[in-house]
Amino acid sequence: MAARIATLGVTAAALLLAVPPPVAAQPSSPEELAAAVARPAVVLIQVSWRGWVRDRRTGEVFGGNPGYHVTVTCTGTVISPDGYVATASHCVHTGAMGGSAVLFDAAATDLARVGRVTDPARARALLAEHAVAEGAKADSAVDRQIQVRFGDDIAPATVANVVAPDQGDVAVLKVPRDRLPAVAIRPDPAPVGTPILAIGYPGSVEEAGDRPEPSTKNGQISAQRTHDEHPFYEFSAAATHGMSGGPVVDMQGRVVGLISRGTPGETQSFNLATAAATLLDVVRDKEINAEQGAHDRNYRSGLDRYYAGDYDGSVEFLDAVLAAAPEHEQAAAYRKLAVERGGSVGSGNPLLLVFLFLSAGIGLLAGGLGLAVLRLHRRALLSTMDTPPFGFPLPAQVSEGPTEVTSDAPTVRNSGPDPAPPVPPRPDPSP
Amino acid sequence: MLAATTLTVFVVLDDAPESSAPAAVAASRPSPTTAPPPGPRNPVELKPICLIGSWRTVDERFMIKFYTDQGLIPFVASGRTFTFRPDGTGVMSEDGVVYTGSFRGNQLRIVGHGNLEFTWTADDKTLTYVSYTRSDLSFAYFDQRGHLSTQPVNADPQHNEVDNYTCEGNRMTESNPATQYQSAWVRTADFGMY
Repeated sequence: MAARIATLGVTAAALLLAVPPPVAAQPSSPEELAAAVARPAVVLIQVSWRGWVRDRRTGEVFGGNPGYHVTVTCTGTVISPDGYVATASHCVHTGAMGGSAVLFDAAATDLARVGRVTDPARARALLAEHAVAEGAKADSAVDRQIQVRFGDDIAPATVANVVAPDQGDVAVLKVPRDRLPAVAIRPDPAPVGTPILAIGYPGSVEEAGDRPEPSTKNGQISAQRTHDEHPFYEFSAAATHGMSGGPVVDMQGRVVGLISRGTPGETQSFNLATAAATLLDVVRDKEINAEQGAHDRNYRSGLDRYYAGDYDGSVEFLDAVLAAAPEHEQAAAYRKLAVERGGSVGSGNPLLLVFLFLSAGIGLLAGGLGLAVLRLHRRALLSTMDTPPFGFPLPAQVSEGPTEVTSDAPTVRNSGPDPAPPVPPRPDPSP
Repeated sequence: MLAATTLTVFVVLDDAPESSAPAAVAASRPSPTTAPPPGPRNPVELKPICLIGSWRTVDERFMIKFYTDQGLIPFVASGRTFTFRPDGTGVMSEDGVVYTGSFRGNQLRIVGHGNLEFTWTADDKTLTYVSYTRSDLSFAYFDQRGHLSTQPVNADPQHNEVDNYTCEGNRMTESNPATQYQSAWVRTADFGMY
């Protein structure tokens, strides 16, 4: 009877562990997981430039009484939950490759409208060479306003650190926000051939609309290049205007570089990304803590559990993300998917573990109890038997060793099923 | 058993979400403000960019006092060139431009030679020739009798001629109702092109 109890206990625990999990929502590709990891940290940046253009040769001032007012869009990458956003410096730099170029373009368009341009490229080149963009007074700074868009929330931004576009093309912005979804920066160089995603908001302000969505393009690192001692990657993913500053991520969702620019004279498959090493230099220069937060790690854990089919665990982790960062849209989206696949609140692993643990314990207890009863029964039988002069050797003690104790009782080991939770395997992080 | 329990507790703790402080109150978040626009720019610096450049007249109509004892006679001409510089100076050049008219069936001609430098201002509708700062321009007058005289155009610091104008792309018109002057101009590539 005791042996049957022990058997039932162990079997119950085994059956509980043997219940097959729901069919897992495996990512269709490594890119899907990488995109899911990185996209929450990708933001739309709007930079408004206001100023005049003055040709230093003639003194002619372009822009009329109100001056030029041009708004351009770029893409940013949140690198710290504390409000630090990396982007391409040509998006925010006031120089001839940044805001001045934007105003030069406006002047060139203006000039073309009145028939004063023979060749648009030549006009831009002449302005870049001979003109200056400035504010209301000669040689004063142009007006620049930067806004970073997080879903429906629009935050003003300041430039925390910047290197010129021809000195690495990296800027780090600061917005008065915290608990932002941040992405990790890959510390080591990405080898040629590394699969990557280039993520950004293509198009203009008008095209962005009310609810802009980033575009995700896949490709690989085609070459490692150096321009003026600054490392760049050539990558094969498509990229276009507006995606500048967006992240180029590996299949773990880590930032490999920032989308910088196309290669002059080349097709769209030859784009350049500033290497993450330059970004890290810029970050260190201002002692910015570019590390992910607890909600980022919880988001990643929630994703891992979702793709492993542990929907309860996914809901649990994503709930933790949403508790810390309620506006984390992707966490909400994946939580919804996890719930639709059977995940529920409060039925996550801890309760299951406790139940399994108790079941295993009961099983072991029952097994031990059964063995003890058997042993007493055997001793009772022995006491009524005829014995040799020196008696029988005692059987091994049940409670002292892991070895099997009887030959006729059910096999019982003192190490029951591992009550540790079934940790879902992580997706292969290797590229 | 103890080992298993310890392991279990460890794993359960490791498997729980990391804690974060409560989310900040969204209402306290600063939002973008509309900054006052910079400027305005000193209007003296601002010239209509359409007007800046070099032009050649293709059709001009004048009312000119040719004979001292007769009224105004209509003349037509083309081929004068103007340059409007962004610093408010300009120059008009005539290299044998012929103004033609007629009086009582006889052809009248005026032939211009030389340059006239001027200062100017403009808004989006009016063009003011503020002064003639320097001139070597002269006009030779002819009728059926032949050359009548040649008269220089002198500098005139107080000239102040205000004309209406339109400028769009490569074309400009200028007019003055008081003097019945009308003209059409086309842009040339001599100055102000990019």
